[in-house]
Amino acid sequence: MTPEQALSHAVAQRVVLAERPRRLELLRMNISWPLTPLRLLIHRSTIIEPTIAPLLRFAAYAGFAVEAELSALDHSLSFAATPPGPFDAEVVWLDDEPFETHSPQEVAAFVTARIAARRAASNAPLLVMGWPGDGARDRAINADLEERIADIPDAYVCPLAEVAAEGADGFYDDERTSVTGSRLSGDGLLAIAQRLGLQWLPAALGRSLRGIAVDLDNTLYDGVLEEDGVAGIEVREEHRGLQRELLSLRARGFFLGIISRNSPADVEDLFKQRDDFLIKASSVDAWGVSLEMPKADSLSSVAHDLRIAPDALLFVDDNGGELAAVVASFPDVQTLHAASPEVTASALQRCPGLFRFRDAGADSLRLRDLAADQIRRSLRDASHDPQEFLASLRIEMTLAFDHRQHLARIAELSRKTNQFSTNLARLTETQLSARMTKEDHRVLSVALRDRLTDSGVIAFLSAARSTSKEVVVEDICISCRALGRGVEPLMLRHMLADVAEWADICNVQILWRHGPRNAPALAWLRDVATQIDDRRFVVTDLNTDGADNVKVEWRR
Amino acid sequence: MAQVTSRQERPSADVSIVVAEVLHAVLPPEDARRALADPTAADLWDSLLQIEVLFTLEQELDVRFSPQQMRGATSAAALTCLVVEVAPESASKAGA
Repeated sequence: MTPEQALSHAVAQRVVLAERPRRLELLRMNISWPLTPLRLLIHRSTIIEPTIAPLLRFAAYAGFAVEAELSALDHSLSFAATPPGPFDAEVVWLDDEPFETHSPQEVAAFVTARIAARRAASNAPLLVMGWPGDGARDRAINADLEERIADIPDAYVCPLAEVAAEGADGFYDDERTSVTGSRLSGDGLLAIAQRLGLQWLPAALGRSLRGIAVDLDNTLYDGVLEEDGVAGIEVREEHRGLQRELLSLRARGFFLGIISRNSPADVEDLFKQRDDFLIKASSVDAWGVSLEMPKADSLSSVAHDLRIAPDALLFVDDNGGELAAVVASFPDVQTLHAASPEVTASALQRCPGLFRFRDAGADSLRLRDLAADQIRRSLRDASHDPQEFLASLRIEMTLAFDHRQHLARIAELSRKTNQFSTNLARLTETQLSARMTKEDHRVLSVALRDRLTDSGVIAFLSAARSTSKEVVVEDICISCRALGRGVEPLMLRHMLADVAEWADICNVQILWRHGPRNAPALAWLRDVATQIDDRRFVVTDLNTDGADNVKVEWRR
Repeated sequence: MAQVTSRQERPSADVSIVVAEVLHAVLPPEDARRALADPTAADLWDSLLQIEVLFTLEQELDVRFSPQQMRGATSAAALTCLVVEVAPESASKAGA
């Protein structure tokens, strides 16, 4: 995005992220920022056409140019007359009324079976609209559906009941069903379009943020700290509402950073002295506070401290000029204009990138890992012997192959890893699941823990063996928060040795691709392997010596 | 002598602007142009677009149409009359 496009995007924010968006404003929205094409297929058994035009605008705000195709009305989900694909995402939207005579288990079983059938025919993420009611029956259907759908890779249940609950009596409009063809009201359809375009589609397509970097002056309080002093800034109830929302996001695993053009000493005093500040210093994961440094540099510093890319952060500021200046340095950074604390708190509830269908486990681990990493660095700095330092951590490395419980996390690693990814293959859950079932493929995952924290799954390798006794590794990814601990060489040797043994050969080929940020992976390849052509390296040294300080075990 | 404009005439002129804005926003450009070039021409857009037009008008003017009213107003002029009929006070606000 250019700075001008970022400002245009900030203007659209008022329309798109509104609690009650207005159709006319949406339809007249000026979209000038870059969009990624998205072919969307909606399988439906009810009239949903009034959602489409608004959906295109909501999805545009999230960065997608949606081309939507609707199936014919299909109550049986036969998928018989499906338009030719491929599609980038598919939605299944059923009218719940025909199922009223069936038990929750029957409903969940039917829908799951049809989704599984569609999974076999399509590689696209599948989004299934949940049941909208808040009664016991609908809750039972949704719970059963979520449990069953969780076993189908890249399939998600959209929490329609949440949208219905927010709309209360205004969600349905049975009086006009004979005319509109839908039991849902215009407002209800609009609310669904908003959630689908801003949250559910981006989440299914892997567009997720890792943290929020928020400004201080006139964002988290009224006033300018340098001019008004700690006692002079005003924290209204609306600001506390915004802080509550940020803390809620942190509790869900999103990092919280502070970016401010203020004196670090003043900011430290602010957090110490203002009891009415709900956010405490201990809740802030990274600080980018400086009187001199431009906010783009502060954002970069915060991202570095959090061990994430700058564009994994949402930058929140009341000053449009600052938003534009940051985008000038980092065109892919998402921004949120903090027009007022109450509007910002509300907008955060709908902002793209902050919704997760299910926690792959990594979000909550990420925060603990960051705190543990700071302790590790202190211990390493204080130690004079690297081997002694490693031994003191009591590291345990657990490897597994074709482990389906790791599928979601491996897909997340494949999608998000930039620095240590040898081939940037970006494999989806569906593709990885297929590889796990094939005899000529092997997907390894590595989990890491030490006496300070359990980091969970932090690396994977995907390989295929051919009939000509070759094994080719299509990608190796290591999470950036696991880099620099000194165990990467051992981890990689064990993974490569395993695939060599599995294929019964003595060398392993590794596909590679040059990307904008994967220099660490390529540096490792050049160190341990020989380049044989412009797409492949080969590794012949497959010994796994050097595990004295690390406990290595296999999960069967 | 100053011309007196009836209360009915002033709201209709203002509401017709809102109706035109909505038709331009919802309909394909050529269909919107045809509908406004001949405001009495009926059935120039399909029933699904009709629902979108009505939802958008309702929200913009804070009114609610009955099922019968939703079926009947299929031209620009009919939509304008419908809004004036349903909520004359909203029609006044539209011109404010």
